[in-house]
Amino acid sequence: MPAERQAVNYRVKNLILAHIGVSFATLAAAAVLGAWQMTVRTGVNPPFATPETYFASVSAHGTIMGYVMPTLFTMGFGYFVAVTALDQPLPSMRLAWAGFWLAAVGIVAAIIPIVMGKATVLYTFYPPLTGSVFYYLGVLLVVVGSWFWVALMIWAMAHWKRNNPGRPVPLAMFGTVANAFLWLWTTGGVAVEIIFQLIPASLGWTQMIDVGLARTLFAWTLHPIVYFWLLPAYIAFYTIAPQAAGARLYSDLMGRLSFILLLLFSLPVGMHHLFMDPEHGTGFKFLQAMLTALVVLPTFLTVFTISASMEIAGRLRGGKGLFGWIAALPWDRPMVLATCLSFVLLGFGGFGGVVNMAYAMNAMIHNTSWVTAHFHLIFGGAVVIMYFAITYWIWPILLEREAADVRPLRLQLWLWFIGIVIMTFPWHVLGLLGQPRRIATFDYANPVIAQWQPWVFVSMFGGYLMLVSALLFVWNIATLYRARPVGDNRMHYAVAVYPPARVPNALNGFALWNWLLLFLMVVAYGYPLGQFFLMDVYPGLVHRVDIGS
Amino acid sequence: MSTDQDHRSSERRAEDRLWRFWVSIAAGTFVVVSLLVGLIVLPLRDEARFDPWGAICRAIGIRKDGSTVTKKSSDPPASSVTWSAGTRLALLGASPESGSTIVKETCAACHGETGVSVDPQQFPNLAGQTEEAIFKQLRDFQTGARVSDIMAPIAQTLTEAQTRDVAAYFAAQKRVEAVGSSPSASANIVELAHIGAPARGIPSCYSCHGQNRSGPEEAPVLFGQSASYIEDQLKKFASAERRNDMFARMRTITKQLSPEEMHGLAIYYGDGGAAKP
Repeated sequence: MPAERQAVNYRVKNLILAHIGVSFATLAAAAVLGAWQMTVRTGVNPPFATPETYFASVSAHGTIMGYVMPTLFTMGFGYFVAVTALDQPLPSMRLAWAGFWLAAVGIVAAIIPIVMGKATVLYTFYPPLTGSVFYYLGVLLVVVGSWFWVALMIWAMAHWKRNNPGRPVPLAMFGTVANAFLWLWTTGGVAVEIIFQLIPASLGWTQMIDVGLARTLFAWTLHPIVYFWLLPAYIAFYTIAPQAAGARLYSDLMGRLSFILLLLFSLPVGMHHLFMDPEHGTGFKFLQAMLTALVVLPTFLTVFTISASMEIAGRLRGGKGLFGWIAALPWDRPMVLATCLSFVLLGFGGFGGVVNMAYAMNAMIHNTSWVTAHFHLIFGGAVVIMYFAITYWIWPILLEREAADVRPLRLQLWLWFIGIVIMTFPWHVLGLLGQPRRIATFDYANPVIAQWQPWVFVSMFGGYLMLVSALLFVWNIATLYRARPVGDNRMHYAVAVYPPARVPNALNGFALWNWLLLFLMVVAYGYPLGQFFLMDVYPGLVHRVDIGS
Repeated sequence: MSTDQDHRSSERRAEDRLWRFWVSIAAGTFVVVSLLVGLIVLPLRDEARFDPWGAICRAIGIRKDGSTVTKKSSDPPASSVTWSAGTRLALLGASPESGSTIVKETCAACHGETGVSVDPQQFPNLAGQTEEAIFKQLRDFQTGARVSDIMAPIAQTLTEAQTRDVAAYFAAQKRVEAVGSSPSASANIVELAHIGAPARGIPSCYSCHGQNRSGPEEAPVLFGQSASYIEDQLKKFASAERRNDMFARMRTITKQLSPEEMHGLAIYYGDGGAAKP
């Protein structure tokens, strides 16, 4: 099985360390901002608290957590997978570094206007608000840099397939390329919005902006972007977690199907973010709600397959009975622990998501803290905890060192898990009580609003636990540099119980699925986007936040 | 050997065809069924009692008469006023004192020295009107967004700063005592004002025109105006003769109102022309 045990060679170490290092450096900053924002919302007035600084902070937090942190992590992890799973060098190191530097310049260009208070538009942009053009150019550069990565991933897989005709692409790489295609599709909407609507408006070339069109283009991006963040976690579920537990993957086929289904059902579904918007008919909202519901297929396939893989591991370790295998799992290993914690968070977050995607229930929690709770549970919780676990798994391989003690690693994962639960569960309650999201301060003197305050305080405590956890993570990685060298840099991916000798072409590439996705996107977005060019629309007046304030 | 390979590759092609076929069937069926349910079954089930064809059109996102399917992107904006931070900060810095001098010279002949109109049926009372509303209307008279042979030449003599000062002066005056909420108004007029008519897409008047102010910045306070002035403006919006309402809000609403409803609402909000300072 040459594909499963590969050393990290081919001069990619620095490339991977740079991507993931920058990713987590920005995460630490975002964690500080997040905790501060929670403090502002309690009404205790921490230092620097004004509505202007609050929304600038929200803009920075969202820009980092939405565009920078997961993108760079996924790029770094993708390079790692491409080299280790395929056992070949990257097709072009120069292109990879070019992508990194574009993104790095973009990050700086985007953050500076936010700090100056000239791009307080939140990461979702919200036209007709428009900020400094450097902000949009910065975000665009990050996206363009990531397109270099997309090209390299597709190129690497095509190259490998040419050299290994008839052999199945290793599952980790298959998932990574699924994510690369997903990202290419995903960024289409937001790139069009930035290039044709926001940048002309922010430069003063246009005085009017079609808000409905902008919102629709952004919805195109806003849902699949979350699946793009999620896929590295899924790749780890399938190809690392069973290995960490000391067993095999229950089914390679299920993994391939899940990645394909996630690609398909992430994209033609974004209109469920626009259920309460007036610019679309109910029929297309319904179609996209139905397509949204199909995400249960890959989710349940994954929960079932990974649970089965874990059961194999538990029984191999002597676990008996209906549930005895769970206790027998090696819980001291961070990857096993994180996988379980991630599943729990995915369960709660998924429950909240079902409420969001149900048209009638959505009306109840629309634009309340419930929504914020949902995406923090899924992304901040289930996904980021797996980013931590993946980093704990691959960073020692990259450094050829081994942490002497994994207890601080486990403590960090537990702190993150407990923190996100304490932070987001009260948000669900607050959402049901009607607390709006995107609000800086509340009038707690009002008796109706005063009853929110205890919940906000509890959630703030959770936010600080997450901040401590994020800092502990940085510490854990930093101490690795002084850990014992082991001189082993081989990556072990989980082997399937029945490793596939061959798979159908449909499950070894993406041509069929990209065509199908094109069909679904035309059906789901063709008329809803086309109507803006057919109808008499009333665009909004551009409101530039970077002048006059 | 070569026949074996040919056999295998033709097997592969057959397998590919099978995948394409079943994937197309599955995806096609799902999409067709979803569209049927979303565009036809659910709209008919939920809304058939008042208008089945209209319900289906709404599910698609178009109007039944197709009236909106014309592109008029060359239309000028309804108004050039934006409620940006710059506009607000400038309004904050306006001076009612210097406004008072301008009003005496320029406005008082019709609108009264303290904003109590000499003839409320023709000239609206401006006393206690919101600063934003007065500022926006003056700017619109200046740019031609609101057409008036009387007001355009007068407004054009003012600089933008003077416009703000005038607005600040009138806003600071004591409002004309409103009779308001006419007790004789019929139930359906009261309902229109307070609840609107959701089935016709009409929001409540109160949602923007409250006792003091609410809703969008430029929405004026209506209590204290004469009924005939209000009715006249409603009719002008309905016929699109007046078109400086942002996002065509008032044009959209008044198009749905009957002449009787406009009359009733005007009386409901107006003071019958009996201005009492």
